Amino acid sequence: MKTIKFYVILLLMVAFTFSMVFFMGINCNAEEKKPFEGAEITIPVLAGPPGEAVKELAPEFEALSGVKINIEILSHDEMWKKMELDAASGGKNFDAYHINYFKLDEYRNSGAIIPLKQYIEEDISPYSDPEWDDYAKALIDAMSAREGDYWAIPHMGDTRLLWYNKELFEEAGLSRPPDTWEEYIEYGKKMTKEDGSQYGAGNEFQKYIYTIDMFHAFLASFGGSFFDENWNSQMNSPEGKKALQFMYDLMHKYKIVPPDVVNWGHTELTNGIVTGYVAMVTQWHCFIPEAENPNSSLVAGKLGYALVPGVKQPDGSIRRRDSLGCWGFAISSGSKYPEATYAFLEWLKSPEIDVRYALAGGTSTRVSTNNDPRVVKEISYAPLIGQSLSEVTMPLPIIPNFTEWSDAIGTEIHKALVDQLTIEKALINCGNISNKFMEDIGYKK
Amino acid sequence: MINNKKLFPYLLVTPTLLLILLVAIYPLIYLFRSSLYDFVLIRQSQKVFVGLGNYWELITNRDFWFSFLITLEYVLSSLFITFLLGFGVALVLNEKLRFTRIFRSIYLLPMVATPVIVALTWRHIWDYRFGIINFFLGKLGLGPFLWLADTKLALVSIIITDVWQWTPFVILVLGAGLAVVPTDLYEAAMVDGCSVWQRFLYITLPSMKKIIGLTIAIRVMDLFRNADLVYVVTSGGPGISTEVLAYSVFRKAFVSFQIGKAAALAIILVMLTTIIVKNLLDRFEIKL
Repeated sequence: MKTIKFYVILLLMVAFTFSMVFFMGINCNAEEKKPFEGAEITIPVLAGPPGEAVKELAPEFEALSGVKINIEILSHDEMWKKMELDAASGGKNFDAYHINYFKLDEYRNSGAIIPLKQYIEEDISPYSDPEWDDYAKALIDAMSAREGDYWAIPHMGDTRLLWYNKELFEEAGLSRPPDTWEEYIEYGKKMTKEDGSQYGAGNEFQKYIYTIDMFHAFLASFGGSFFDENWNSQMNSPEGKKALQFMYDLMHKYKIVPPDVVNWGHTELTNGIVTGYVAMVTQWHCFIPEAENPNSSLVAGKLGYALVPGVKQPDGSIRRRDSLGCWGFAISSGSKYPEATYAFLEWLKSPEIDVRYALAGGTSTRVSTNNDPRVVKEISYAPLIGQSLSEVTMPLPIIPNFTEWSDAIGTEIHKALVDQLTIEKALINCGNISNKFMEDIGYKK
Repeated sequence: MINNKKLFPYLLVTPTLLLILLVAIYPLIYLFRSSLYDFVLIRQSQKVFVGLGNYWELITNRDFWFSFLITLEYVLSSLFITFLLGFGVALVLNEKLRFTRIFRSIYLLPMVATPVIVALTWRHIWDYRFGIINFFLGKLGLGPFLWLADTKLALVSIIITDVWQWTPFVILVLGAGLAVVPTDLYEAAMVDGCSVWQRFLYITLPSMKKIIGLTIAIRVMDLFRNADLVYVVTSGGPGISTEVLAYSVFRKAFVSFQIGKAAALAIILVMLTTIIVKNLLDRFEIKL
């Protein structure tokens, strides 16, 4: 009896072991290990429709590749602080950084990010190809290319367009948007009411980056630049004076913008036009979905879009210039899974996924996406974005100490706008500050 | 046994001293050390020792002195108004009139609200287009005023917001001080024919001297280090009309990440506050 019991137990154990091995084998055979199985990456993105679009797409790549992706959606200020702290402490929290083009050199020079050519040449991603030709050259030059290598994948391409309230234009007898800044002023005067209930135009003249960005737009429009090829400041030039005087006059001489625009940033400017308070603005296109949302806009369906006004040239053409807005993903030098991170980012920016990203609310940097019939059908102004990115936008100076420099210059310009300094004095100060900054970093001899 | 007895009090205070060393003294030393270097947070490996260079750069910068004056204006104005208002209300509440009990339960509300929420709320109250202040002033045929966009009005707006939030603190502390002034002194003075003003001048104020001094000292410290109100309401603007020193420290440290310069400015601010508060405490004969 004992012997039978023993053999029964032994048989059961053998059967159990055999079945375990057999079924495990089936499972192993049925499901091959995915290329990035076991990897986990964390990527910060800006709050808003573009960030939500990335979060929506990430699970698809997780299923393909096996990588676990944590998308952290953060506000602008929060994101900068977290990324800077992370970069300063070795990059342990984020595998990629979502940075503006003008911050790229800060991160590059500090060793916080790694170059991408190795991943591009090794073609490590089985899911996509980089297709760099599909980006505007100016974008690649600003956002990525440095010293023969690529340092970031252009992700969000932003450009300012002229938004105008077609109803208010019609009421004022205006049949088309302004082409030049002279027309902008003329139209603005026609649509500004004396009781202050409506203004013809609006601008973002809030302190620091907003002011300097707007100054850059007008400076470039009038044919000027911040620096010459030897990094000597050109702010105190006739073009610089014209640009700052123009900004000042919009407020104090022509009075076609609300008197509190010195406190207006993106939110206030968008609110200004969606409430019908101002008739036209030059605003970043990424905010258009908000303006066309009938739940949050009084002018949904009533806005027209055009390229920003410019300056008429002797040959009759119009030189339109504005600031480039571009964010890209750069891979952290502290990332444990740089290949997985690169593969995800390249897939995210692959042409077909990029179209889906744009349709989900993202702002694309690819020429093909902005001209894709599916995108054009949903986003009628998409070709304008492509045209603006290619022909109108110009990058701000890309220097290692951009934040410090722009804070100092932005303050001087803002002082001039609120009469704490004359325009001449403000520009002299800007010139001195800029030259000192360039000497300190060794750009200017 | 005698040695143990002598040693025992020191053993009791050692944990507290260690904690203070860890959370106050060491960070202060580290802050001073940081102020001797020029570096940006993201480029710590490229730190350069500049000695007192950061301090020199600050004190030779015109904007630093402008901020210094703005800070003094903000501190003195806010202190004066909160003290006068707070003491006045505390005196009234001490009289135990009708409705003082109800008022006692609501006057603390501004003080217990989160400072950032208060600042955000007031930013909307001061708004040029939608703000409730311009709305009511408009009904009286006045304004609208550029409360946050006019260089002369922006600091006024900041001061009023601060007074709204922190007058209850002054009421609370001075009210507690008034409650412990012996009433028989007032009775004796009344018998001697002293007027209300004389009783206030010769009984109330001398009895409250130390508590008044402490209240002023605490308010001064709070005002000098207040950056969140300016950050939320005006960001130091328009221009630099509300750029108090504390906000400048915040901006240099957490926006431009220029740790060396921010540390130098923070040290200057700490020294300034310490000197002023120490003098105040001495003047009011408060020994801590």
